[in-house]
Amino acid sequence: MDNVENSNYSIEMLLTKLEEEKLLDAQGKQEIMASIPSLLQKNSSPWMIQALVALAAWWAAILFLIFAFGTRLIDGKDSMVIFGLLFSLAAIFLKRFLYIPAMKSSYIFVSQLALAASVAGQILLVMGFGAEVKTYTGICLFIIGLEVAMFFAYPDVIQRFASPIIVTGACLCLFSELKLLMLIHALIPALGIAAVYLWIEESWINTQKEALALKTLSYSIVVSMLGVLCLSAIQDFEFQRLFPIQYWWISSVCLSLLLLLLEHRILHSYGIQTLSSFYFFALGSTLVLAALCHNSPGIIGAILILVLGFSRGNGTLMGIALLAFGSFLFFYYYNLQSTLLQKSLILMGTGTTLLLLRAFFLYLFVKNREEQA
Amino acid sequence: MTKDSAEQKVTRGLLHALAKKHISKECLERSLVLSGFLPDKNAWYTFIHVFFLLLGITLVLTGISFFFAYNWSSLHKFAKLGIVQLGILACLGGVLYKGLDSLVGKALLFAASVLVGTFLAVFGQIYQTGADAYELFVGWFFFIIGWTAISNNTGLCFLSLLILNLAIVLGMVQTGRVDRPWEWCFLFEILCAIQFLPLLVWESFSSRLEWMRVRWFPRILVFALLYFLVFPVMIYIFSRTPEDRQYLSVQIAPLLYGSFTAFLFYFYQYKKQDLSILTMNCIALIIVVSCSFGKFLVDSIHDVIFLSILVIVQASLASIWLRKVWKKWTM
Repeated sequence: MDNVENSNYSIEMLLTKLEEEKLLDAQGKQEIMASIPSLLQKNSSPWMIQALVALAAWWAAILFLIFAFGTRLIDGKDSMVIFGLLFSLAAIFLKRFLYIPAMKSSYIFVSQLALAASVAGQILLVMGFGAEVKTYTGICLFIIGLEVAMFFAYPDVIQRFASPIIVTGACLCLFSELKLLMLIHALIPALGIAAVYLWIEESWINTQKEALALKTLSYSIVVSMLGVLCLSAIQDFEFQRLFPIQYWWISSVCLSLLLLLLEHRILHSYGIQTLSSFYFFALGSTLVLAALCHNSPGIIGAILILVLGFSRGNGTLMGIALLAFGSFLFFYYYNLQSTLLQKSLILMGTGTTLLLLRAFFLYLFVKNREEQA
Repeated sequence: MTKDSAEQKVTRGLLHALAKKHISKECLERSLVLSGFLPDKNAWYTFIHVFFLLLGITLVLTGISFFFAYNWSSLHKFAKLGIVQLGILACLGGVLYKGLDSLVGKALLFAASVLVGTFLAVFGQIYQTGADAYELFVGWFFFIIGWTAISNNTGLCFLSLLILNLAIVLGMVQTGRVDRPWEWCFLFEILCAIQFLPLLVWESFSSRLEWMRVRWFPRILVFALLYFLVFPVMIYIFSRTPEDRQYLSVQIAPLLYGSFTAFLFYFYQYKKQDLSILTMNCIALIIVVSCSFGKFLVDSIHDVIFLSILVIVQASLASIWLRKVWKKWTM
């Protein structure tokens, strides 16, 4: 999932610079130089190829299920559970034990087959178990357990991306079923903390054996968090009646605190002192944002991910954040219980405030530059 | 290590590959900073001031629109027209002052182009000429095409093309020319032609002009083209009456689609390397082939399993081929 970008540094220049800064010794440099040709050949597939594989696997799985139910191959909850288990285990076996490096092309076909089997198997297991248990609580708990198990057992990027999202969805259904919707205000900060931690520690993750799994989890948690925050943007009467989630300001406060901590860390990494003017600018802007959006944690969540994405130089994360930000902002103003005149004044006021903040920021930057010069 | 390997540019992927065995977390972090993959202070400065600028202008403009929407009925007709024209003039004044090359200038020219559409809508509302909605879009397109040509602004190119597409769709729908499947085929084929010409122009000039090096615009064009071409093919495959297939627009749909697909495979593999477009092309081809198979060879529910296998086989072949192409480019 890494963006393939080229730096202006050549490999040799970078290694020499690292050696000068004593982050690399001479022996380490030689080892790296010897391994570069093989590393240049080894890359994982770009995300778009994986997206194609995922789409096709879903399509194949759905067609198979149509066939299975249409021909009564699967008929009744027992056969659903049996076939579901068979397909899931077959998928795990194919993926884990049939990898032969010399037969990469065949492995891609096998991998495709395994993914389709995995999707079909999981759908059948959930349907079979659901028919057996017949309670939403039981089904949700089963889905959570199944997806956690598949995350570890089935080493596939698409599965590992989907599992946390499905688990989050199941948790929401569980909260709704148990009439514990307030727990959503614990889920959102938890997802936010996990997202921030995983992305801040991206370099550490890349040194781990399960780097790909953890990176996939990082993206998945971000998408899960933004997905849950979508509930704050829905003001439809029927939806509110079915899912009466109140006190969104709790999530807003938690996410604002997280954003402040992230900003603090970023500012410190650039050597900016705690009581400096930039620090107060960041603190002040965040507090103003939190005050304005206290009932719209989606905006704060999107800005958190945007700052996180930019700090890691990750275009994909920034794209997700900008899309979410635009949507949440639209719904924020759409849902305002005020007249067109009031909305227009709020919009103009907010826009003008942002332009003034920008002017103040430019002034601070120039002043800081002059002081340093 | 060969001289060639040593002089290769550092990539993020390479750094992450090194992290697994050869370098520590601190070394990786420092490498990312030195290589420019992580932002420095100047990058943060640009990011913050551009973000505040674009968001601030968008909110102010939206607020102004809402303000006039609220007061609209009580304003005199000359005031309505005058306010919008003043907005256009103010934006153009800003463009002249800041210049077309600056971000502020580009944003203001985009705003002026949007206000031209607003002006035409207000004009049509005040003077109830009985004109159809598509005439507004046609007029809007012709008024801003000159600015688009000189602006070096990808966003404005996208807006102009969107307006043109809307004009054509509304024109044909409102004049009652799209009712039967073959008429929809014809509409989609015209839309294909509308997207194809700018795509050719863009790809011809993108290697020479800096502002045309962004890839999102041609990718959106190709996505739209594939969308507009796959529909006529679906109509050809699934048309219920033999009468529909008598029309040329339906008959040429598979030929048009086949030619365009072949062109995409050739051009974006050998002339312009773009894996996203090749992937979109593969997905469209899988859809068309699978639907053809489903329509002509699947007679009963028992045959659906073969369709499922066919999808898997096609996707495998596509991903194998795409990986080979991608590896060839990155070697």
